[in-house]
Amino acid sequence: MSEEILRQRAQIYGRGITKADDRRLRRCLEVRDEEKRWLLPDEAVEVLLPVADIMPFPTAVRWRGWPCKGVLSYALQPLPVLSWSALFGRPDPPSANKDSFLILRGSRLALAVPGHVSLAFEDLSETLPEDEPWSLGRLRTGASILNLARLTRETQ
Amino acid sequence: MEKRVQNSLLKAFREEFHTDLAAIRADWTQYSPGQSTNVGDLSDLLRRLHTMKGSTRLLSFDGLPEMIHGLEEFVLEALNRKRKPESFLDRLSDLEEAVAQRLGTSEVSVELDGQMVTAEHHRQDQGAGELSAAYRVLLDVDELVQIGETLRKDFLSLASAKEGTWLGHHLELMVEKAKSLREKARQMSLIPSTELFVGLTELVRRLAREQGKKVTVDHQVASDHLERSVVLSLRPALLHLSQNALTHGIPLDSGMIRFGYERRPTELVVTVSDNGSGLPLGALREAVVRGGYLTAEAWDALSSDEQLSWIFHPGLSTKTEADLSSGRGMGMAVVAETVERLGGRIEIDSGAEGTEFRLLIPSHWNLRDVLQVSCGRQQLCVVSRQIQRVESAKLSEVGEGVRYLGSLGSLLGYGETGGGSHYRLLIESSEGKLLAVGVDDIGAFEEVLVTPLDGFENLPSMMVGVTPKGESFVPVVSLKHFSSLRSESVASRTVSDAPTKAPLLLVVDDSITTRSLVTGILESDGFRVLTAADGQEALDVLKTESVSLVISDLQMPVLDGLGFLEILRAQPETAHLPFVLLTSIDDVATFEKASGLGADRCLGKQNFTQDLLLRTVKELL
Repeated sequence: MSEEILRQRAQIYGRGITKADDRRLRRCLEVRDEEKRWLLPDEAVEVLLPVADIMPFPTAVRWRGWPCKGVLSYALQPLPVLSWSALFGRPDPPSANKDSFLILRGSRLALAVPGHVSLAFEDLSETLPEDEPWSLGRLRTGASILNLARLTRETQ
Repeated sequence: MEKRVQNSLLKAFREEFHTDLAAIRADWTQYSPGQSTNVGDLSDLLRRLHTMKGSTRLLSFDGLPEMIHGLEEFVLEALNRKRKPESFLDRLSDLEEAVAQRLGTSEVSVELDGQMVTAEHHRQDQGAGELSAAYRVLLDVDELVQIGETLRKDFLSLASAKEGTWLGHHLELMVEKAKSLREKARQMSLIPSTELFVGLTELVRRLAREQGKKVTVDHQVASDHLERSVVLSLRPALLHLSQNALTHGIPLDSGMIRFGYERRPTELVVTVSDNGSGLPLGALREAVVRGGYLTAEAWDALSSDEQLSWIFHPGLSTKTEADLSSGRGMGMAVVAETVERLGGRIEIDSGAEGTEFRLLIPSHWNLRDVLQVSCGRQQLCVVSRQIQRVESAKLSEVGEGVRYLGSLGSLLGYGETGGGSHYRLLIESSEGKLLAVGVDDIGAFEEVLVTPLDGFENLPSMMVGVTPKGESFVPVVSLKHFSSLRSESVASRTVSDAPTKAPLLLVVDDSITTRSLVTGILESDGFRVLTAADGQEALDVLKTESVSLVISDLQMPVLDGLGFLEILRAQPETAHLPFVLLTSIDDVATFEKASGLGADRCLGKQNFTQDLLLRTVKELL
C-alpha cells in the first residue's frame, strides 16, 4: 500500500508542476456527485486510495455522529470510513463497492467516494454564498468547496 | 557501538532517509518562490533536513551533518532571495550519493533469532515505517498458518478414507514450521523498549564532550515490547529532546539526563528529563516577539502552558545563531509533529530543578489469545480466555441447563448470517450457569495483536478492538459482557425458547441514550434488538433484516420518524409492520398526524416507563 501511496503522491505532484502556472489557481481534488462538482483543497487530503479493504461495522455504528461504514487499514491503523452519500443523507449507490478513499489530513478518517475523483485547478479566492450545509461557497465555475470542518464536529 | 545495535540503526536510518528524501524532492518541486516569503512554505522540508542531520550525527557519519547543514542554509537563502536555484536538487543528489557510500551496500543485514538474514530495502510511506514490512511478513505467515490448519482439517476429514499417513505427517510439519516462522515475524514486528534509546547515550556523551560539559545518563526503562513503528518514529524526537536538554541549561560539570519509559493501561509514557535550570521562558518571549509572532503584551497575557507550547513552533529558536546541532527552531517542531502523528500528546514540567518532557503515546496494540471464528462472511476473533469449551452440535442438541443467546454475528448487529451456527462457544455466567453463542465456523487459536477502537458511537460493547488481517482488519470480540449477565435477563433464552425465535425489534433514535435505554429494556425481556440512528438508516436495515416491530423517534436527522413511517406504509412488505412512535413531542396534534400516517401506538418520552413500553410491544406482537 505504501508504494501505491508514493506513486499517487508523485502523480499528483507531477501533474501539479505542469498545470499550476497561474499562481491564483490551487490544486484541488474534484468529486463529481450526480451533477454537482465538489472541490477539496489538495492540502486537506493526505492521499487517495483507489481501492481498500474495509472491515464493515454493524449498521448503527457512527463516528462523531456520522454513519460509519467500517474501518480501513492506513499505516496499519484503523481509520473510520465515512460514506460520501450518507453525509448527504442518501443511501449508498449500487456502485458503492467501487469507491475511492480519500484519507483526510489531520482528521484521521477516510471518506469513501463513489465514482471518479480527479485533479482540478481552480481559483478559490472568490466564492458566492450557497445554501448548502456542506458548502463553503460556490465558485463562478459552478463547483462548490466542501466544508470539511463539518466532518469533525462533535455533533451535527 | 554494538554491531547489532549499529545494524538496527543503519536499517532504520536507511528507511527514514529515503522517505525524507522523496518528500524533500517533492516539496522543493512544488515550491513556488514569490508566493510567500516565510519559512512556513518549506517548513516540512526544513524539518526533514533537520531530523536527517540529527540522525547522521547519531550515526557518526562524518561530513554528512555539515553537508545537510549547508542544504538548510541553501534553502533559507533561496527563501530570502525569493528564487529557486535548480542546483538544490543536484546538491540533494550529492547527499544521496554520500549517504549511499556510507551505507555501503544496497542491502541491510539484520540479526534474527541468531541468524543473519538480509532484507532488501524498499521505500515506505511515512508513518508505516519498518513495521509495514515486518507486519506484512507476519500477516502473510499468519495466512500460511491458516491455510495449513485448513489443509490439516480437510485431511482429517478424509482420514477414514485411508489417506496415506505420510501426508498427515507432512501437513503437521508444515503447520509447525509456519507457526515457528510466525513467531519470528512477530519478533521482527515488536522490539524491546530499550531500543527506544539505542545510541542516544553515546550521542549525548559525545555532544557533551564537544560542548565541554560533564553529563551522567540515566535510564529508567520498563521491560516491555513495543510496536516497531512507534519506536522508529519516536527516535528522532528523542534525539532532538536530548540535544535540547544538553544545549539548554544543564550544569557544566554535573549535568544529568534521564531517559524513561513505562506502559500505562492505555498509553506509553516516554520521558526525557534533565537537571538544568528550566526552559528559558524569557528567551522564548524575546524570540516570539522578535520574530513578530506576538506582541509583548499578547505574550504576557498567555498562560504559562500556552507560553511553553511556543517551543514547538517551527522556525522559532531561542538561539540567535544556528550551529550543527541546534538553532534552527526545527528540532522541537519535529518532536511535536512526531507525537501528533502518533496520536499522542506532550506534557512538560519545567522549573529551576530541571525539565521533564513526557511523550504520551496511545498504546495501540495489546497481545490477546483469541479463537478465530466466522459468522457468515464475517470473520471474528473471540478472546479465548472467556471460552469454557467449543461444541460442534445442532441447536436441538444443546445440553441441559445451557442457555443459548443466539448467533454471535447477530448479537454483534451484523444481522442473521444464515450460516447455520454449526458450533457453539460456551461461557460461564457470574452465577456459574453455562451460556452459549453460535458461530458458523471455527478456526485456530491464535495470539494476535489487538488495537482498540476509540471514538466510535454505537459500537457493540463486545467489540473490544481489531486485529490486522491481510490488507484489512478483523473485529476482536470479548464475551465478558455475557458472562456478567444475570440469569433472569437470559431466562427466556432457553433451549425451548431460543432467541432465534424471539421477536426481532428495530429501535430507531438519534439519541444514543434513548437507544441504549430502550434496547436494554427490550433485551432484558428477551427480545432481540437492532438499532438505527435515523429513518434512512432504519430503511437500510430493513432491506436485509426481517423485524417484527419498529419503535421510532420522531425528530431525527436525514429522515425523520414521520417520513420513515410514510415510506414504510407505502412499501407492501412493510405496510403492516407494527410501528410505535416514541417521542418527546407528545402533543395531541403530533400523535394524530402519526396515527393518520399509520402509527400503531404513540408514546411520549415524558410518561415513558419500562412497563408501558413492554406492554405496548407485547400487545402489538
